[in-house]
Amino acid sequence: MGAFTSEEFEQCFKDFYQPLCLFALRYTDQVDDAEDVVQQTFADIWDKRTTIGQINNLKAYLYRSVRNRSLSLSVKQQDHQIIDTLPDVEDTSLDEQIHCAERDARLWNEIDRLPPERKKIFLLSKRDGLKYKEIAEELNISVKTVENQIGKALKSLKETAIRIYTFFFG
Amino acid sequence: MHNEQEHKWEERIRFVAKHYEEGRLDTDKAWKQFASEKGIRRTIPLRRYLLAIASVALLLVGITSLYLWERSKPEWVMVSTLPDQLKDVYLPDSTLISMSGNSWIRYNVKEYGKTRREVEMKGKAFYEVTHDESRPFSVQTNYTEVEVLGTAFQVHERSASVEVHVATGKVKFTAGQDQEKKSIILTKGMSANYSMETQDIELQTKEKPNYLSWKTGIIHFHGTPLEEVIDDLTDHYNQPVRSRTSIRGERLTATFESLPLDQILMIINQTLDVRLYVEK
Repeated sequence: MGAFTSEEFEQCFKDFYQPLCLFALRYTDQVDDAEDVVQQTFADIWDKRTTIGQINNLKAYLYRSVRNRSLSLSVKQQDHQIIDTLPDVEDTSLDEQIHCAERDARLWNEIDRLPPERKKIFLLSKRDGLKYKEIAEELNISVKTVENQIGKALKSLKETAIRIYTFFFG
Repeated sequence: MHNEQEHKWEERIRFVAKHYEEGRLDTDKAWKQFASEKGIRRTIPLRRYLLAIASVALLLVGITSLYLWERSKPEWVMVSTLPDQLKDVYLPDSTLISMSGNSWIRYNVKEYGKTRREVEMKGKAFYEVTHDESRPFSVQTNYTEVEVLGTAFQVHERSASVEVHVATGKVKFTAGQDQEKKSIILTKGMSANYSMETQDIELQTKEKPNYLSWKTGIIHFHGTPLEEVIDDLTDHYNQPVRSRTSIRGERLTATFESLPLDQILMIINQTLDVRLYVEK
């Protein structure tokens, strides 16, 4: 990669930021921490950009740095935090984890793009763990509508996954 | 989908949804924050920068050359006359050109008077050139050039010859093709003739008192051999004058002012007992 121009660096940052965050999230379990780790990793590369020499595989380098930082962060936090999930991701290869992080990033964006009402219902169910009936009461709508909206949300999320799968391998 | 895949899918949805917050992980926002912390400003890569400079320079060169080309493109003013038409033309420096019939002159408005005053012509024209030593005046025909500083002269370009008469002042008469150019200085009252056939300039020794008759309307003869009288009349009226009898040794002294040709011929015939006529 050699010395970055600021534009190349910006492009690289924008390409990898989200997948790297979701990758880090598997270790940190906190979005704030994940973002910090990724930002620090990029800051490190930026500061060393003139001395860093050639990075043969920048992508692998980024993921490895993020993983190392995430791990040392969770080790530091171990003292005052019960690690319920020291992630089971470790038994898969780095390539697989990267692939998974990239798909997670696309899922995140797809959720972002859901129509507001559908997104709200979807998140109440999947994030907050509310039952359909509870959601219906909360939002003053029928259970049927909740089912319907969640079905549609899942369908569009799955379609993105399939669309991208067929785009790459189909 | 396979059961295990289905399970993984469910797990991923749960994972992403669990952490999802509206407006988080916004790449552009993250970059802006990062860039401002690190003081990264958008810089244009050098190569593209140079390329941009190069294209702008190229564009400028293009526009400039178009402009220069446009500016150097001659803009001709051309004046021409019908066979029997006489015309006076004033140039921008108030040089006067008196044009005879069946002639044209032209000059480039963009260049005329800048460092030189150049006129091209065909046919016959009398020049009264405004004196200006810093900007030489010249008249060009196909193979000749007359250069002056300020004077009055006439150029008569025919198909086989070019004749120059100087009324006042001094001119430099240059003629010939390419390397074979010859020059001669003519002063007041002198005339010279360049012949296409011999490709040489010949100084006229004989006075030609009537070379300006087309302009003044006055034809003057003083003991002139009748052969020359016939030539001058032919020239002046642009009609072929012939003689039915031998005219050897006959001479004429007379002044004709704005008379029709047949009247002049009648007068000559009666005076000298010759039989001149116009060949139709």
